[in-house]
Amino acid sequence: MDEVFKITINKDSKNNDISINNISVEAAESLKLFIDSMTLFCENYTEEEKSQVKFSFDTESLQYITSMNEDIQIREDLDIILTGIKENDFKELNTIENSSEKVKHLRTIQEKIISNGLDYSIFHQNSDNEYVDISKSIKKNRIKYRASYIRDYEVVFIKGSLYEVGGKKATNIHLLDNEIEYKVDTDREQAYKFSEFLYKEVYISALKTTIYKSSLEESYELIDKYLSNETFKSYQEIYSLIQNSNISTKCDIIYEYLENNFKNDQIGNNIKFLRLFNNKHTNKGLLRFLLLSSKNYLKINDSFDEVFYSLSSILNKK
Amino acid sequence: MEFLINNLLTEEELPEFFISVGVLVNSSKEPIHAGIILKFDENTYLCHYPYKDEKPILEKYDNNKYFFNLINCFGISSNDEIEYIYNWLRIICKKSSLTYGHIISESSYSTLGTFEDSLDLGEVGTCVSFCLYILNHLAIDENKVYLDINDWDDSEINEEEDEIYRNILKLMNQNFDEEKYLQNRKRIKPLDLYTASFSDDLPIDKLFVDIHRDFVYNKILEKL
Repeated sequence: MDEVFKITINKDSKNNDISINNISVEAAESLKLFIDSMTLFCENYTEEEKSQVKFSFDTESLQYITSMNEDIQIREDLDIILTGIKENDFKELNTIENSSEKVKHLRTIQEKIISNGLDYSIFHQNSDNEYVDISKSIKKNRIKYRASYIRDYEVVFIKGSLYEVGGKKATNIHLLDNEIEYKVDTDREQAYKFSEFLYKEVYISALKTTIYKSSLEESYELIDKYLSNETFKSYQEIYSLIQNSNISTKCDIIYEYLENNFKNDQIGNNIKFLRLFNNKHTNKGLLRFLLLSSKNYLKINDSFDEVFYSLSSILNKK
Repeated sequence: MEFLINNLLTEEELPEFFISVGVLVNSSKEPIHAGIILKFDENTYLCHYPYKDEKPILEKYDNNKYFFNLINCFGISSNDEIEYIYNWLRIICKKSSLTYGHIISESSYSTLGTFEDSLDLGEVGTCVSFCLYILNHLAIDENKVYLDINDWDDSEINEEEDEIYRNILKLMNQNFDEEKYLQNRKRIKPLDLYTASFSDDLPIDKLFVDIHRDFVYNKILEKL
């Protein structure tokens, strides 16, 4: 059974009836746009699929009809503009390729229907022969484009005076360093541990997210805390050394660092070291290298196992 | 199996980046040697244990007599990842002091290239053992080994050769436990390791290899 998508222009903006023999200029404009958009929509099909699409007009009313074979349904693409699923989310749903390109043209039609004040009826007849009036939903679910801002993620090291801890819903710690205030997200358990350091100097690492909107938005998520300036500096240095090296040198540095700590029973250092990479923005190859380099030290220390499995779970999701 | 055999590739058919098990076939059409072959940034490398008194090495691949089978079971999906694995292998080769002998165990090259010895016999093995120690470790899940070696035994071992290797091992290590060696020795031939690599379901067992060995070998012969 064919799938059919029909757009009828019933009346113009002055409430005059429109028919195939009586087309106003504004109705002609709409019609032209519908034909152009549906033609572009079909450009995303293969030549063979294209041959299965037919356009036609009703004999009386001004009804523009697109019929297509059931194998190349329009339904999934229509659903995007009818159900209000945002394109970005839809892409993540792993749907068919070219979908967003096709949806763009359906959206052009949708915008026209909403904007120019003519009266339209829109129907979709699917391969199960259900004939659905989508006139209302096509108007109602106008999608506001979700701006996709560029985001940057980096691991930062902050030291500062802790001047506030807590929060009702979200829990944060607030640090002040040279007039710069940092609000760092954390969990309650961590926040509680920080409370004993209130009005003291604290040393932390955090995952910083920068969102490039009209003004920069920055947020911080706690990674780890360090008990002294010396420890803080040592992690800052090793991390920065690794970040600024090519892959081969990076591997040598990590190798030496981990080996020395394992040899000298400093497993705690390796736990803190691995935590710096325990986020989903770490390069997949680097994650694998860290895991390959740590695998045989499992089942010695619970905290070490915890960070290992967390890294391994990030790797598996990538 | 038919679709997996599509991974049996010659050099010209290789993708941009990969990690594979390679088997070397000599002029008498015998699979005589195995190695790990990987490619990233348009360069192909062979990591293998060349035999006897040489250390395992990681070198540029320039031998067209290997057959490859791309390994998919580790979920590797980028050029970068192969480069990191290359560096891990580089460190392993630097650290390794593998001595030849018919030992294959669930040991692995692990933390930073040091050898984790499951039998306490020292770093002993063949070219296949070397590949396997690497592959065992690449299966990140600690509960998984690459190959279930239990059903292989010492029936493929040449006694005269083995005696020579045992003597070398004794010379190199005064505490070498010959009795333990004889109890644990086993041999997995290169074609068996290569055949095993056509399964993505870890650990791979001997039954899989026994069922598919001839099929894989015939495919190699077709391509020779």
